[in-house]
Amino acid sequence: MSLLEVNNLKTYFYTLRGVVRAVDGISFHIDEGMAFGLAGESGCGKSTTALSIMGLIKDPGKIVDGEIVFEGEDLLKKTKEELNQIRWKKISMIFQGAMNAFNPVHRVGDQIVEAILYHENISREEAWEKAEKLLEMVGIDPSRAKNYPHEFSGGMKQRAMIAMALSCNPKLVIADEPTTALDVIVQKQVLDLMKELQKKLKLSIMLISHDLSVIAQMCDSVAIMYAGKIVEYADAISLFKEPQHPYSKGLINSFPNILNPGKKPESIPGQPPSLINPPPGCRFHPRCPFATDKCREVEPHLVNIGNKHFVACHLIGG
Amino acid sequence: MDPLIRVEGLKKLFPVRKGLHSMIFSRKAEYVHAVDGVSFTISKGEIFGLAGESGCGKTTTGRLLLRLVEPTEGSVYFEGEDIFSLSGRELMRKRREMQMIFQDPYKSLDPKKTVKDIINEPLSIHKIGKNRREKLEIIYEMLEAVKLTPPEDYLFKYPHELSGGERQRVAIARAIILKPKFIVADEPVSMLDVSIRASILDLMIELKDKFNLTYLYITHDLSVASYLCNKLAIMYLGKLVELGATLDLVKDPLHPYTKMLISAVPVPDPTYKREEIRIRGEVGNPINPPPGCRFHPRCPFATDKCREIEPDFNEVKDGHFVACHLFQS
Amino acid sequence: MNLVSTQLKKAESIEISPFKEKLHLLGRSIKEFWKLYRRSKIGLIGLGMLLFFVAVALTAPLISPYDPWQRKTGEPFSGPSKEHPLGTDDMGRDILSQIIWGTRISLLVGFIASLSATLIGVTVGMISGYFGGTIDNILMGLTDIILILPTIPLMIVIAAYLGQSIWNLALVIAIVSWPSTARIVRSQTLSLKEEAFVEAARSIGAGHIRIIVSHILPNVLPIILANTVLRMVGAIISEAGLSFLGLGDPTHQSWGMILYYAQVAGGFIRGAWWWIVTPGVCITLVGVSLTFIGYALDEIINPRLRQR
Repeated sequence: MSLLEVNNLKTYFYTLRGVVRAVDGISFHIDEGMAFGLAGESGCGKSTTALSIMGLIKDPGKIVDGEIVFEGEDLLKKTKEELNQIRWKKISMIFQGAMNAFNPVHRVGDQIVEAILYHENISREEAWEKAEKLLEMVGIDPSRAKNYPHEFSGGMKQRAMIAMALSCNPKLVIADEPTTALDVIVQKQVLDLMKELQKKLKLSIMLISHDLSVIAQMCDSVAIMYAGKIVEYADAISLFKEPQHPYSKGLINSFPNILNPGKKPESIPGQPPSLINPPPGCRFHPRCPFATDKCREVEPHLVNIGNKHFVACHLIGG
Repeated sequence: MDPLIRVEGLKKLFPVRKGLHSMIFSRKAEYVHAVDGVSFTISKGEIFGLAGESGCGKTTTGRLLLRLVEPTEGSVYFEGEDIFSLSGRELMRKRREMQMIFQDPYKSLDPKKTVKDIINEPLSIHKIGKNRREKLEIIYEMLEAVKLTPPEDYLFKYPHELSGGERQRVAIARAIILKPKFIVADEPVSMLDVSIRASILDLMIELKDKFNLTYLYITHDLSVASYLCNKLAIMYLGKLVELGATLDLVKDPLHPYTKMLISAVPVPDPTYKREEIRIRGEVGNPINPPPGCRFHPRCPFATDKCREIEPDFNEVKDGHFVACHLFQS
Repeated sequence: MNLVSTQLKKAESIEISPFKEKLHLLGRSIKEFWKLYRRSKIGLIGLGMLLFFVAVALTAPLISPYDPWQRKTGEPFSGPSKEHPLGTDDMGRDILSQIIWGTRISLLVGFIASLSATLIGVTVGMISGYFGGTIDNILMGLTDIILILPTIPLMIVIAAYLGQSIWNLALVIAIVSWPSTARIVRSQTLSLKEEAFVEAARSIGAGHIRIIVSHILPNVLPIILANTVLRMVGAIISEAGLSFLGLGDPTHQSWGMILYYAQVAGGFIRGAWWWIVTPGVCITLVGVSLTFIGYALDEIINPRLRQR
């Protein structure tokens, strides 16, 4: 059964310059214990998707349509109090640049304790013990709970952040570019840790990243987003081995591969479109080398081309 | 191939700003060993990659090579001439021959200047072009060279009116307008969207052939470096640990740190199962770097010798240097 | 040729003179600036009010009903009437005319004082921030001394020493008010000089003067603009204050001087409210209008305030 199902989610921002359709009708699901990757370039709406699930969309943004079904219940139909119970307890999030999310004047352990006490009815001592256990789980010496954030390296802060996200035993962890600011070696350590914890705690993970290599190494299923829409959605292996949508192909080809240094990375011509006035038809058509008149006029929908591989392109699957 | 740049024993220590407490209780001045004795040679026409994690000293090395920072010790020879011994006017002349492309095109262009003014500045500083018409002809040529066409569409735009890729092209045009021989490119694509990075790399390669450029390409991204560079040097805590032809170094890394670094690079292939290398510890402190080999606290093969004696940077294969006691004869 | 477009044809851009090019760019910036400024209601109200006072100052000879110095245009101490909408003073001089002419002096002193303060502050701040070291220590030491000394007594002392003229008044106000500008400019310069575009300029061989004048100054100015406008409020009030204390220029009638005469000639005791209230209202209105403008500018320049 799916743990999380997002159906036709639309999140718009009502700005002075017009309506920004940041997320414009996307659907996907995450099964229990699986890792789902949401990939795309900056401004494609992937972070907005995460914030929509977390209920953190702020004015002038608004979820205008769709369903977010978690454990069989639509989160968008719940009251604020009910949501607070679910969010953070059952779904938690690791933010982009989370290393800087610690308050520099409080000890790391105390900050984790606060997070635990906010949701659980236990004594301070019990919470501190739990915080130490959590730190140990993410590979930090529990005695360092007494340290202040500046005494931690970037990688350790990110680990501590993960510990905090796991403090209430969530079922789903949303990680928004969790390693973007980290060096490769530290990134590897953090990703390995996330993978290990996923297996150990039977977590579901939603990993958001612009870096397809990171997604390839972490995720079971992947969706590629472009200008507020999902253009391709499949299990990781078939998406990386047999990408169908011209944008997915282009994005995969734009990554150099250290195992194959001779391979020339290819760029995609042009720029991602404005989300206020997206191009009609397929939003990728101005940058697509195969665009036809149909692409310029009619919007393609995600079509199953077999084996639960979905593509939104007129050229594929009739 | 002729050497264009020869770096010898380059060192840069930055004094650490001290708080009141340490000023009262300790007399010893502390320094960040940003670059700590680095030597290498860049040949004409090469793309020389300098890779390492943040804080390893790669950016400071790049700045030293252009004398944007004064060194603590060591020399940089540009076509045989030590750039640190040059006086004001000689340095001005040399500046024409070496330029820099910066990491963040959102910050490296003056927000109050038009594209024309930005590209024109090197011309007016070095008094190139007899009159306005001649200068504009050169500006047009450069804008066309970096594929900002038609140039008149860009001439009077401000940086905030351009996309990231376009800005980086403007920055490149400014760097090449003096027809330099050597360019230091400091992570020029890391702030750009993935889908346009390759086009900037292609442009750099094209310009290299067109204007006979030599690049020092500073990066933390080994995937890009492995595609772009002929030669690759790996830096760790202010020192070079390995240097060699890119393919050689990437396929067959010798130094344990290089091995660890390369094994950590993510690969866009979900089926790839790599040889697992356990990563130990974290990068040491550049204020008090570990004695002996700086990598020894993290190295699975460290011996007592590694803990005490600093390894030399030796050529172990043709053109493949490594600083590790495991490979010293 | 449309000067306010982004594009110029190749031939045009080559043939166009440097002056026309600057004009073209200036036109564009003003247009863009106005597009943003127009959105601020407060800014528009402030600008309207200020323009009214400027118009009054410029057309003073045309619109003032009497010569402000002429005596016995009516009964002394007479209240507002048809002939004298704002009444008369102890010698029967028309107060409306005095206010109209006073607008000139008050605005002029405020303008000159705040502009000179900005000029000094920007110069000191940029030099101090850019070069650092000993120069910085000396200049900032001086700045701090002036900042620490109590403003009013300091102004009184300098004004008394320099003698009474509107130029001296402007000078005195400038002398005591540049340090805060210098502080702001210095901190801006400190961060600007670390910017990548400054390093880029150095790498192409730009010298200190070019970097300061061509790269740092244009980036400092917009931030200082709002500050300058707000400083004018202070300058106008200071002028009024100094004049009221008898340190003003007796040959010119500023709003402050009107208050001074009112006090000396017993306007306060005899209850001649028209003589006292009007200059006060004028000072307040100009102050409010400049504050509104400064607020609107701040909103445009400081992007964090420019939401929605």
